[in-house]
Amino acid sequence: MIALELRGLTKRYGDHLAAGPISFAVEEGEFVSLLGPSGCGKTTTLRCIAGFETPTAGDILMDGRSIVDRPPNRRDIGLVFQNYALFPHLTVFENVAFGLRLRRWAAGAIGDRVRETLGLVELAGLESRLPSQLSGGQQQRVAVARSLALQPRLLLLDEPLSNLDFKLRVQMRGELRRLQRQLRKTTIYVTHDQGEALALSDRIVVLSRGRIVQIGTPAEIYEAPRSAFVADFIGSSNLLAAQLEGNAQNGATRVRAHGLVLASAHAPAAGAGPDRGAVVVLLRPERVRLLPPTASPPADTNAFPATITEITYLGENLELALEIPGGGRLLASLKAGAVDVDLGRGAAVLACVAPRDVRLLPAIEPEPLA
Amino acid sequence: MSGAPAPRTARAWLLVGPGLLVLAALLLGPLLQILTVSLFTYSPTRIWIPEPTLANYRRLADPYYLAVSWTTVKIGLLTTLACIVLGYPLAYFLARTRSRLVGLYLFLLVTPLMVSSVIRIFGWLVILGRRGLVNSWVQKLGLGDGLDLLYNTPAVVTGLTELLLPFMVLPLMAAIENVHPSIEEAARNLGAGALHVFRRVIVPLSLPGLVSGCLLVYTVSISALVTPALMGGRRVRMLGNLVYDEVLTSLNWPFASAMAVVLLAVTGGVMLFYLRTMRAVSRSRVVAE
Repeated sequence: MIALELRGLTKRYGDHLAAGPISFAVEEGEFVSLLGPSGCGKTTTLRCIAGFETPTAGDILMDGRSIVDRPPNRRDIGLVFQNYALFPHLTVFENVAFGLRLRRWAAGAIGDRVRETLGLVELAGLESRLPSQLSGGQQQRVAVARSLALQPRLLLLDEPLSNLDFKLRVQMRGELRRLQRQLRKTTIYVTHDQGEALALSDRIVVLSRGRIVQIGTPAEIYEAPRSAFVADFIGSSNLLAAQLEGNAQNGATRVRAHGLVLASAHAPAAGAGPDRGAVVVLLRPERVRLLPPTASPPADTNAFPATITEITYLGENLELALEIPGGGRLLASLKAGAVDVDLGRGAAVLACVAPRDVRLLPAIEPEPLA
Repeated sequence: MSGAPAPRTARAWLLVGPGLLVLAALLLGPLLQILTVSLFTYSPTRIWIPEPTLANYRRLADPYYLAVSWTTVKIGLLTTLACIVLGYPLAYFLARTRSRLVGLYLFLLVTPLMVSSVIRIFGWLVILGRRGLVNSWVQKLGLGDGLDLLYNTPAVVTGLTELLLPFMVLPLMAAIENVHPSIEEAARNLGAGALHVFRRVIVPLSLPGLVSGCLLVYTVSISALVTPALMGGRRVRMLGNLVYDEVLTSLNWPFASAMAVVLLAVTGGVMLFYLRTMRAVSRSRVVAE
């Protein structure tokens, strides 16, 4: 069942197009992320859904009914703000009780619901504190609890973790996932952090310049990006300009990039633009394997000699810059403990990439999705 | 600055000193003198003779002076109230607007303070007078004939409100600017209508600005002189007007001093009571909720 649907949602400020047209639907209980760089329109979209911006065009439907004419206080949508926006003059208890008091709940019922919700976010016992007496992570939990206490039809989260330090961010990410699994609350999550989007979402909507460039599960977005923009924005990537060499046998495609000829297990994206043979090859750094230069590579694998030009030690991983035939540069990422070749600057290695890890993307950015 | 342990206090005195000296010489001294003179006896020939008496204060218990005192306090309270009612929306607008004209708006806000009182009030006489702008319209619309819009309490409150509105709006505006817009949006998101957001979020969070605004408006309005003199006429007299008359017309300085002392005491008392209440309110809010 569809809980929320955007139909051609568009927001303009004068001549400036902030977002749209954007269309997508969110299933009941689904966790959808709006992901994109700053200025891509994700927060504008969220504020339109919450009712704080009026769309210039398009419609927003909740359970099939348009809500664009409803004021923000009549939408049954919970919004967690980036800066938490707690009421500084009210205690934790009163912050969470704010919406319940408005709805004229009985005192006993308010107390029960507030305690239950604070328990859910593991803040029991802090009811009488003021927001200024809480840590950033605790304030974040109060903000979530304040929205959840009303059990809204839809929960919106606007970059809720961006003000926390790294450790806390990872911890709160886990908390949010636990809450989402537990409550199955339909949620829209705005973020510019691909890690958060991949970890939390059922589906990700990738935005660029106000338009949707891809919608898919985290695995689809990561493994099969529709465009070089998506590939570049999510994860780290090697993007090589290449030419199609015509279809080879076994449904594989051959491309030439710099001095390399690579076999890909995937069909090329429909070529657009004047040069129909031009594509962009995507190789994820962690999918590049390194063998000793004298080893014989497994069959059906792209293998080519390379020279290590730079090694960066990142603890868990080693990041290597390789020089490949034709003078191109390739990034490879290896688990630091699982390396069986001599690594050192200037060392010669054999780089291997499986054909299924050679993705072919259109050379020109495809049209955004409607 | 290391060295003797004294420098900290010495420097503090150096910083406070000049201001303190000016205050002592020009405010505390004359104030003490007023207090002294208020206890002296009036003499028609020598203005006062240094014979201690409480007669001046006893005379203030006369119903006429009690009524004037009450009028003074009433006008102060009404003016403060009018400034709150008119000032809050204005302060909110000025604090939240993203217009480039905000500088112009602020200038317009303080213009009443830049115009000479006499000119400002003559403007009101033209508007509210018996043959003034308002009355000519009232007549044209057949709603009445020559309403008495001047020389009554509402007229004085109107004149004072126009003058003192900036004293309310500026501190309120500063306080509202400190309330992040997302806090209002959060309240809206939780289901609050505009009025509820105002009462439960804006007012409590801008309380410090409201307190200073009220103190400024109240103290300045109850010591008003020119506005009640010109817009209140003979009928609406405030303590300031009586003091003025006693000093310049009757030359009864001891009685004028007694009135000044009472005015000061009333102002100080109301301020003290007000500050105490406000502090108690904000403390109970934190404890109770």
